[in-house]
Amino acid sequence: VMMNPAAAAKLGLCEGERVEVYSPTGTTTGAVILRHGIRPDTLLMIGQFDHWKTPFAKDLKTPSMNGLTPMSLELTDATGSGADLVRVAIRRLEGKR
Amino acid sequence: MTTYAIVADLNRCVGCQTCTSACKHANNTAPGIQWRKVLDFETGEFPQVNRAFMPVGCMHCDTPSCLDICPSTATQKREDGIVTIDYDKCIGCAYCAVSCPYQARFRVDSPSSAYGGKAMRHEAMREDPGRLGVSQKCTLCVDRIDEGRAQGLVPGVDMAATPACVASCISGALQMGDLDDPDSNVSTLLREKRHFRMHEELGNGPNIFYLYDGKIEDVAPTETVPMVSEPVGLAAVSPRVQTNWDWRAAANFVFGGTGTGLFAMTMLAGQFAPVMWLATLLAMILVAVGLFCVWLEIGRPWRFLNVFLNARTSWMSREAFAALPFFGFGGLAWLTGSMGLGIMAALSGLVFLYCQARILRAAKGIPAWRQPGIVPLIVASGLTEGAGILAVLAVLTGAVEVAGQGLAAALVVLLAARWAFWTRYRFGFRQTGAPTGVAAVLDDPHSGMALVIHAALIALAVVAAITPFAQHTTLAVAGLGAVVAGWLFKFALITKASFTQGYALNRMPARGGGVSRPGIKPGWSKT
Repeated sequence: VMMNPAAAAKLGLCEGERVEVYSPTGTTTGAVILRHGIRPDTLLMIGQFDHWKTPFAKDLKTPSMNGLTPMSLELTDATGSGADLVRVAIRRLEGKR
Repeated sequence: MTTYAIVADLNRCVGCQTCTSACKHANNTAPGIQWRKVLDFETGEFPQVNRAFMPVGCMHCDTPSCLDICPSTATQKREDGIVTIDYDKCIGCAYCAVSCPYQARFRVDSPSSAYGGKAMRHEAMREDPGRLGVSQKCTLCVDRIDEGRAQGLVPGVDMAATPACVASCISGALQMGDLDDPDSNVSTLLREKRHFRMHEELGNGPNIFYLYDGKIEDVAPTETVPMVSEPVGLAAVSPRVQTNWDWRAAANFVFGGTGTGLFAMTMLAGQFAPVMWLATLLAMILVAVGLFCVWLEIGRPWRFLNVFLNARTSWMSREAFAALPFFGFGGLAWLTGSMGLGIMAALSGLVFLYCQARILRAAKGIPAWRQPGIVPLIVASGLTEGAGILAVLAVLTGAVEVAGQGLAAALVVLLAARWAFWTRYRFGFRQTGAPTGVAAVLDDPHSGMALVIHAALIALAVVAAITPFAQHTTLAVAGLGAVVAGWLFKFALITKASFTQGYALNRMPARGGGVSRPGIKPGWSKT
């Protein structure tokens, strides 16, 4: 879960910390990656489709956008799915680093 | 003459990792192993942020630090500059991996496949058991180059004769060619554009050049790269603890140092009192245990005799050679009780100890090891540990009545010398800087070299030297403490303070018509 260092500091989150991200319809977990090049009000996740075919990717414990928002074929074009934007909240998973 | 080099234009690289995939495809590297990869650097703070991508891999250096140190001569440099590894000769000691400041070398011990379990068809077809347990790295696609040249093609111009990474680059950021040909693509680029090389100060003469700005006539700023001790989001390019040498390698430095130090101190004490032959036996056992441990670590243990192939330049080969007279003379001396043979063995042991120190000094990839101050420190620690064990043995066997005061005095001197060398080594980082993690590890009291510990040990040894009635316990405690402190230090040095060099981006490339900006050396500080 990539996020801005200033935004992370406000929430008391550090690099590598496990967090839960949730939307009105679902939830997913991942580790915090800090980058200055992202807006403070935005989170970025590159994981999609839960990687159910690739065991290694599954073991990487990457977050999955599909857990947060269902894919909409109407909003999907050749470059990817435009429905991958959703309002979310974030909280730290206690004791898990 | 030919010198192949790669020129990477940081302005053109978009970080797409196509070269990374092309490399994996061409060379069938194991999951997690990337001979060619593209690093992702970021500087500044939101919203003023710069980002740059930097392709890295084996730099096929002019004077590769992996070459001379190789004990088996498996690593060679060809006439055309390509650094090669002979998989049939390599013993898998991974000394080259810790000697490369570009973290370009890997060792894979068991087969693995991209999807776990069963290898996919293309993986199974190209499985190469000869590449397991040995060192591996970017070959500059030497097979493509050789086959292409045999057909009259020109590497760097004809893509069939060009490394897969360069041939696949989508933006023309990667170019490859012959530096010795003044009209080649790379020579022309380097003549016209401003460029830098990574870690140039280390003197390897790396052959990947990075273009970062416009024409070369504009005066290029020659700043040193600013160290950034707390880089946010740059973990992937910062120094990290090496994983090639673990406790087994540490055990060789621990037991080898103590054993050779013990033999030397025993023979030295034997000049003033009866020789404690039991101690010489223990010394040889210790050194043997250390060598056995490191034998457990190498990837191709049954090829270990290849360690003797490069005494001309490798301190690891020299260490192995020094072990022969040490055990030979030592064994005979123990059997015959000959002082002369014992002294020969002690001297061989000192050579072994010195070689161990130089092994670390030559490991250019690990900033905490390559410090010049490491050599006297490792030698002094070996002797101090030897004196410590001898003191304990003397107390246990009753020899303390004769040699106690002398041993205590020797301990005082050696402990003080070791601490002085330690201080010199430690302060060396104020000049050179070091990965930020190094200082924390070294200054931790668990690393054995804290002033308090040494002051206490020296005080105990002084008490033992001047007060005969309190000798037994104080001498034994001081001796044991000297040993434990040395062991803790060497264990921490090999397994915890052994941060790699990491990567540095000397200049942030110019974007569009802009100008380049200061670069970044993440995870380093002057401590």
